[in-house]
Amino acid sequence: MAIENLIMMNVVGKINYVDKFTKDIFLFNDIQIVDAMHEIDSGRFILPIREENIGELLGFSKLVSGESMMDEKNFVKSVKKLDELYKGSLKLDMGLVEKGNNDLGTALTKAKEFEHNLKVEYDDIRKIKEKIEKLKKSRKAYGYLSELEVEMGELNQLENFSISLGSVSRDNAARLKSIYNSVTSIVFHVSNQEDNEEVFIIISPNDLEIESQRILKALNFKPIEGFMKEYTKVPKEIIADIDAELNDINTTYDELEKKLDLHLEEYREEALLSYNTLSLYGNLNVIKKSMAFSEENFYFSGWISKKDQKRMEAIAAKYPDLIVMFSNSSSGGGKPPTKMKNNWLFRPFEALVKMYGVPSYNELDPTPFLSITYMFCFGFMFGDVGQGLLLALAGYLLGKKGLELGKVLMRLGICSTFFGFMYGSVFGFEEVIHAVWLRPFDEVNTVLSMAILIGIGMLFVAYIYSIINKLKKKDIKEGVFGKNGICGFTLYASLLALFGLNYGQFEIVQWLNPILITVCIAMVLIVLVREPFANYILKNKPYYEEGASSYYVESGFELFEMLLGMLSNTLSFIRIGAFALTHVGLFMAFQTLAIMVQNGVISIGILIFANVLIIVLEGLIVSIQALRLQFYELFSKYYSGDGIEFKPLNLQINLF
Amino acid sequence: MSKSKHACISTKVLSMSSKKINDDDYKALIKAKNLKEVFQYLRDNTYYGDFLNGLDQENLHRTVIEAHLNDLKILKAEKLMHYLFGEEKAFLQIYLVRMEIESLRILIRGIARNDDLESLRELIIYSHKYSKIPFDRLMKAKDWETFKKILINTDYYRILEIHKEIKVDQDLVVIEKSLDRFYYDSLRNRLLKLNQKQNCDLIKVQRRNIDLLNLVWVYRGKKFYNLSREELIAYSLRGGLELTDKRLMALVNAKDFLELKEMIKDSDYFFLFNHTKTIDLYMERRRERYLYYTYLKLFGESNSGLGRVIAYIRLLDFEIEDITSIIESKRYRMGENETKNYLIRPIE
Repeated sequence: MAIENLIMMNVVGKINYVDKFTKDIFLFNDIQIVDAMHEIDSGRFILPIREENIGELLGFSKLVSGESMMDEKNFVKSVKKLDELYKGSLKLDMGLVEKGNNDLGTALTKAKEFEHNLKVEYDDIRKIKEKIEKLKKSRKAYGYLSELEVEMGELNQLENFSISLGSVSRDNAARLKSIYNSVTSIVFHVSNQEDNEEVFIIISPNDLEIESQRILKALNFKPIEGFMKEYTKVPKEIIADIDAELNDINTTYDELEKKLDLHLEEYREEALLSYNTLSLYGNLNVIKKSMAFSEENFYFSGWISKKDQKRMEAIAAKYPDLIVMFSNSSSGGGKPPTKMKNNWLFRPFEALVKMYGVPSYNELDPTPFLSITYMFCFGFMFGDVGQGLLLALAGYLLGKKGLELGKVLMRLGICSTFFGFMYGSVFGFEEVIHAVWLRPFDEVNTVLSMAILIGIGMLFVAYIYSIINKLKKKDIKEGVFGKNGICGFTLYASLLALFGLNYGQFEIVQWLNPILITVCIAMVLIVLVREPFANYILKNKPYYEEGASSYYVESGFELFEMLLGMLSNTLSFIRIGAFALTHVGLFMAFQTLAIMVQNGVISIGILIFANVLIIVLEGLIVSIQALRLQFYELFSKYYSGDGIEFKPLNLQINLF
Repeated sequence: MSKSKHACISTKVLSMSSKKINDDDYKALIKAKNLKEVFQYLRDNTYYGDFLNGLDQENLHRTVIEAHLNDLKILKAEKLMHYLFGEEKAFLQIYLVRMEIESLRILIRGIARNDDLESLRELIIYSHKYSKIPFDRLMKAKDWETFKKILINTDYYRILEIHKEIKVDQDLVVIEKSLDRFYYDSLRNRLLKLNQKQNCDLIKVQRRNIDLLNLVWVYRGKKFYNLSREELIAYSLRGGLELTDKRLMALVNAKDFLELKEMIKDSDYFFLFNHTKTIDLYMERRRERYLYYTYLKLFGESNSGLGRVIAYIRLLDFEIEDITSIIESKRYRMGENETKNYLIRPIE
């Protein structure tokens, strides 16, 4: 079975071991938690009424949802802090979580202690950082004056003038320049700063200080910071001094950093333990959010695989007074999510199926059928040993990087290689190896009719899938009498047989014709009246849901669409053959070009370009066409895809 | 090529423009007896309705309605931006910056007066899509320092940072003038980045606008505030058309208002002073009516570049301003004819 049977697990336990139990759930992981409060409200969480359950049953009356009680934010904050300190080198280690006794109290105290120890060293570093910033600022400030040959001490002590250095925006600089000659101070343009600012020195007489300041303020003049009274030498010397000081400080800074790193290394184990415990509790609290609590008990619900029931029971046995109940969808467990289970070959194709929709829990998983036919169609259309291997390689590399579609690409590439041998084509050249089966261009008709035959085969399987899916849902009307049910299938098969007998290379068996024609007419009639017919057999009333006349109008059109669909769906598969021909044809065109240019280098260039173009562009087109056949011609027949995906715990809650 | 490039947006603007409120709407609004009637008319009969629906008609405040009229402008500008790319899109954004600055100005005034900024929320209108100012956080600021810090990653920080404190009578004027100047500097810089040939008519109109603003500024600075020539220059806008730097300098150097009037006798802008008693009262309206006609012309004649788009937005501006004036006229219980005198659009 490609879709696993899921069962709903409902648990009632005592609050004193809720943390331990939640931890077990967390480690178990393969479970999709459901809001217990919701389950209880919808009446699906039912306890057997017995005397020993009386406490748990009473608890139902005063339940509180975990959502309002639990909060994981503090844990997340502490964990993030630790993570920052160790620059992300701490990892959640499930083994350690499982072994450790994970006492919350100790972990919290440890983390606090740890922070406190580090704080001292951090403060030193912060102070030094501030000092460095300050020095850099001064360096930049004096840098603007580096060509000045005057001692700053003298400038600072001017009696009647004040000097300031600052910047204005470029637009305001233009305004300042147009009043250079009339402001009450001397203005020098010193340099351009990055970000659209220009730097000026303003020297103004103290008597006119107020006027100057007013104008400068009007121009949004921003004084440059970093000038210090202590620096009295010539700017050049000051800069040299600052550089020397910066050098010294940088060394101390490095030493401190090293010391801190050592310290961190020393406490790594403890930190890791705290990290793990706190992460664990963060996660536990998220899980507990979807539990419900009464005064003494906790209530928990979740979906697990049926095969995990034994393991779950073993876990439950560890706890006294813990009640576990399992129920499946048929016994009132609600609509389960879908857990797809496929082998390594088909698994990557689940991504393609999910693009259309997750299969419903009572539907056949289309993945295996899709995988086989998709690979086959791609290979058939894009058969080439060299190009296929390149695609496989690219797919492999992408798959390594964690891209699920990369793995699909690798499988497609391998199929392409296989068909490459069939067609005897390597990077488009047909002279290198000989064809095991045929060369598409030499036998165009075979390729095209082959394509149709493949299509018919695929449609047959799709009909079977459709019939099974519909019968599983107990949908007699569509499953038996519908256009994609048994009747539709019989009609399609009979029509094909009629066509084959009369126009094919088979010997004409005259007596079969009238039988087949009768079957066809009967099937058409049945499909036409399927709703009243099904209702009659099932003894449902009324026979027509929306009135007879509207039903027949609608059904008549549907019938027309069905017959047309049978023809078009079948012919649609001709594209498989057509693309196999295009693939060869496209390369032939480039090959002709390469011969025409009569220049070795250019020829090789053209052939390489041709291969790149074919791999990228045609590869894309072919993969889309093959997918289109799946989604449009096949899925529309048998697949609804309205399920909900099963999400194991680690995908459901993803805190860190 | 250039024509077809703007054909789509041009058509869109034409269709948007057909929804504008017309003279009959104006007359009905002027006739309305009070604020509530104006509000009901706008809500039920004009395209402002969508933005006024949420307001409680029993508990209306004039300024809140006025602020929400601008929602329409933001919506239209954002819509038009879908049709543009690169520099042209950036240019249109400048009109959203205008709203942003207006909202910022309201908040800065609030903080200078120690108001609770949250209470001003209704008046804060800006483009949620394009504004980078965290208005929500600004409204929670309690003092000037935190207020400035919140803006640290925006262009406005540079304007505000030199003001260590904010006093209503000293800093507020300076900051508001600086914000205005920043806006027009950005407008000019973005104008320079547009295709100069395609947009020559648009650029001309924008430069005339700057001329007028400078003229009014210098006139008022001299007549009412007695500002020094340096300060007049410091707050003047750059990029005028007729009033070049040199002419502007000469205007600033004029001894008094009469000399100033004499100097612009031959220019296009003499109409501002061409009256005896009502110069100051109607100066703003005359300036804007002049621009109204200019943009109307631009809207009709512009056939390349962004001319028509900008004209649409500016005309929308005038419409909103007129509605605001009508609302104010109810407060002062003005007569119909008196109200008409203060409107930008001439109504007979």
